[in-house]
Amino acid sequence: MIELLFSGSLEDGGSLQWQGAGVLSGVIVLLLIIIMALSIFRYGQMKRLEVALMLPAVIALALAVLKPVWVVEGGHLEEPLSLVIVDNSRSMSVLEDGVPRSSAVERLLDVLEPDEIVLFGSDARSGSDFDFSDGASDLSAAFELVRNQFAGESLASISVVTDGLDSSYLRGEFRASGEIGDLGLPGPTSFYQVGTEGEVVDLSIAQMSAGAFAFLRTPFEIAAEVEGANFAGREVDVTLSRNGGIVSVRSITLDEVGRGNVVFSVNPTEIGTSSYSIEVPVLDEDAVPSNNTMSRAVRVVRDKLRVLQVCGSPSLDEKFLRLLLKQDPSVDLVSFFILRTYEDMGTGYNNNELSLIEFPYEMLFSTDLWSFDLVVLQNFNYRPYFGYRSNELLQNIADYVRQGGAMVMIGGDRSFDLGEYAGTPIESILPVGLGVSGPQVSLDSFRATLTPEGRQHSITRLLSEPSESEALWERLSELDGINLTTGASPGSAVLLRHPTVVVGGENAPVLAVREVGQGRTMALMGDSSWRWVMAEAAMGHGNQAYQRLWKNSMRWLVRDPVGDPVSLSVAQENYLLGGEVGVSVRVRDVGFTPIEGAEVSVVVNRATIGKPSDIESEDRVLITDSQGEASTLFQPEDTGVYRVSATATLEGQSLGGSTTVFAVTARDPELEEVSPDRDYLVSMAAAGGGEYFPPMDYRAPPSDEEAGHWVDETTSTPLWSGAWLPLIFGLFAGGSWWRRRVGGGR
Amino acid sequence: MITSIRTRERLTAAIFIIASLLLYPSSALALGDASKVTIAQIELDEGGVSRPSAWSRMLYEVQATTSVETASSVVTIGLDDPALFEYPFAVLVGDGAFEPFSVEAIEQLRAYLTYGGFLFIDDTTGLPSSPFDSSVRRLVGRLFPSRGLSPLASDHSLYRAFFLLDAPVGRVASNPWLEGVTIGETTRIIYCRNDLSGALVRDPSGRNQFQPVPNGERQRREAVKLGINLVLYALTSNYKQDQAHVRQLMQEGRLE
Repeated sequence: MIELLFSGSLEDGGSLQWQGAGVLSGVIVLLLIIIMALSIFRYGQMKRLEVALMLPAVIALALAVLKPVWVVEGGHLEEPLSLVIVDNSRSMSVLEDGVPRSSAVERLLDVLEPDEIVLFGSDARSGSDFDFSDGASDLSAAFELVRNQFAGESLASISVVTDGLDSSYLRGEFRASGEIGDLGLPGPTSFYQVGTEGEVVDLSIAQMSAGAFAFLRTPFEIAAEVEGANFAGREVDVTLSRNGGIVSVRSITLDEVGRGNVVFSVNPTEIGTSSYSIEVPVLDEDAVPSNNTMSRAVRVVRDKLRVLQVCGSPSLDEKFLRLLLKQDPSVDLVSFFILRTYEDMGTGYNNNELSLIEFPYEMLFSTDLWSFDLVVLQNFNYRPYFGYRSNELLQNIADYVRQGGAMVMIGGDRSFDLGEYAGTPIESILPVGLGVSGPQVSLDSFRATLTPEGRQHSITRLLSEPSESEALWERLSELDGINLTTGASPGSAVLLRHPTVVVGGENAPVLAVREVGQGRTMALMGDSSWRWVMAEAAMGHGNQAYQRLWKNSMRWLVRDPVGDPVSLSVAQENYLLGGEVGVSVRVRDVGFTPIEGAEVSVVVNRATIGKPSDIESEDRVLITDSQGEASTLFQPEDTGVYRVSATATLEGQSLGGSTTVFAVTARDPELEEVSPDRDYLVSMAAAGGGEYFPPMDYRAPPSDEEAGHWVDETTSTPLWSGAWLPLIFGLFAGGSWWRRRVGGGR
Repeated sequence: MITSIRTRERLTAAIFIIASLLLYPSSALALGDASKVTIAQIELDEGGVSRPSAWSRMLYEVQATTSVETASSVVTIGLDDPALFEYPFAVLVGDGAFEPFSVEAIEQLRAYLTYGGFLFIDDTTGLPSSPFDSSVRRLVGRLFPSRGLSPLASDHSLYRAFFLLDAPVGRVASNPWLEGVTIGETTRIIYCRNDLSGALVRDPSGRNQFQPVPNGERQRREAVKLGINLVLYALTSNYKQDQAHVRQLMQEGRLE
């Protein structure tokens, strides 16, 4: 009957199942029956024909809800599957004899011929797109995937190909207890070890420590721990670099377990942020070349500006400079004044009455010299004190300046040519020439005049507005006299000149500056700048002009970035890979007034160690806000030392620039351990009912002979599907309604 | 300052130094007299100054004893004269009461001292109290109402600016300490009530005008040393408090 009605061929042995069976379906059918019964009772006069027509429609509707299906169950057992689980983590890329240990995977797959492949690393997934780049080895995730995917089945074999450096809890528990419980996998699980213990050669920087801050000219230590797999007892060269340039190389011998420590003492000579890197050589057979270097950025700050003031005779000029320097909390002043010369020794006083001490010139101008940021030679003639060591000690001062120090020579009757500096190493670093053939001084009072360079230079810019600064210079007191020179040295800048005295065809320099090597020098050819204090104070202007002149001078001489118009900073010195680096720029004029609307070009370069040349760069252009500030974010894509440079312009005119550095590091936990864990794999194989296969052992794994793969062949035939169902419902329900209308019903 | 050559190894250095001295100019070429250190003696209301020759002698003693280049004469100046700022070392010497200075003069003196000027006040009466002393205290009270005069400690730099001094004596030695006004680390006013000027002043014939009491010429020698220290302190302020000096003086047993 059913076959006849619904054109389906139904197999024997099947059973009728109701797909739509459920509470809701039952309720709907029940409601239909109740409605039908109520209709009959309510309309008792209902004709039999109407009932006969309504009944098929209701049955059709009930069948549509209950969905009867004819099900014939069947299937058969096929050959069992073999599964291979492959470790896709980075530790599989470790080199052994120059060959990555993952090379064994392809060969094993050829031998095992798996039906299914599962990869595990940071997570687990089916597939064979292994690239051995995952940052973890989560074997437990692979096991969970296999349990779910093959639930109820038994596999012929499960083969795990790994170095055993599992980062999941399984290995943690094994390390803690030495035991592994039932793996709960659907088949005997064997483990194929790739990588050989003892053959891994890996030299690495395990740790590096350096404080985030250091003080200028104050030695600090950078320490590192070196580890070398298969390097026990061997000597290793460790290189310290700063901003890409090699600073020092030390050889250390690793101990019996392949570890060693190295400590570098660093004496920073430049303020700002520097990036220090420690590196060990990358050998051909090095398993993980990326862990052979580590970087840290250190911000070098100035504790205080250390100033050495040596004066040949107490004077009013010395008095006011000392007062200024002593009152400045940022200055650590060391003064030595010559209080008595040999000429003054015949006055009948013996040494015990005096508070004088020996002038420690040898110590000051040899070992101690390098601890100062600035040396002031004020009206000081070296010759009576330095004696036979004159040339050596003067050469020390010249070397100190060329290597980044700063020196000021201030005039007087014991300075410049009168101090016998002509022809000495000091002359070679001064901004003015010596060896005057005529008068060595001019004693006439004069008012120094600003040169074009002086109008621009930060030293002589006493007020932020250039016109106001020039007006101030025109107002400042006259000086009492001047040391004569032969004129400006090549490469120097004369900031103030004498209005009338001419040397070498130009007005005599009064204040001149020069860059010498990495250092700077300044020469003030007079001994009465103190008048710029008292004359201004007499007019009610205080001592601001004198203070600003000397503070500007000190900042320029020691290259203090605080005085730079463009300051650049990064939020921190050291970043982990993946973090964003915040870069801030501040632009201001010499009066520290913020400059709005300045265009700032920011360039970030990544430098390679030992090669100061940059290999990557990224550019940004920023515009400063009303606070003279602008900021941006960078996302470094690799580890290493990054140099940030900023240059600012306003309406096409350069405002200056600044640089800083930061370091990006990443410790890859996946590569902190590279030697395969044989014991773990042996235990896992035992727990999994399989076998452990050492490296290079490519035999097939044990198989479950009784396992099989069930192929489901169940067929289901819907009995009440097709277009006829709404047709029957419409036809009979419509007929019933028509009959009732004809019969006078509604 | 080279005070001694301590080791045999420096014998050679000494020879070179001596040889250098023979070639060294016997008198320095200061950059004009204006650059030399001089003293401005402040006129009081009667239009004159007390013991003017004392301070000329002081300049001579400083020039002869130390490396400081001094002018040969003292400048006399009114307290309200703006030229006071050209002379950062001033002295006020007297024995009687003086009229209060004008507000303008007080303001000028305050600015002078604030920005680096130094004032030495000498009461020539040598008495525990005097009309001059009252006037001085009134003057200082107007200058620095919140500070006032206070005794200088025995380890004040003044007492070791050039000579090591135990006591501040002058013509008399009745007051065992000096007083002063200190701003920051620097004492700007030093007040002596032992008539230091009296120990220095000479009569027109060039002889010492007063005999110091109670210790005569030995006391005068100490007074001269105090005067020299005053000038050196005005020029070097607390230089002798620098660690390098203190450490070495203590090592050599010259300072406790």
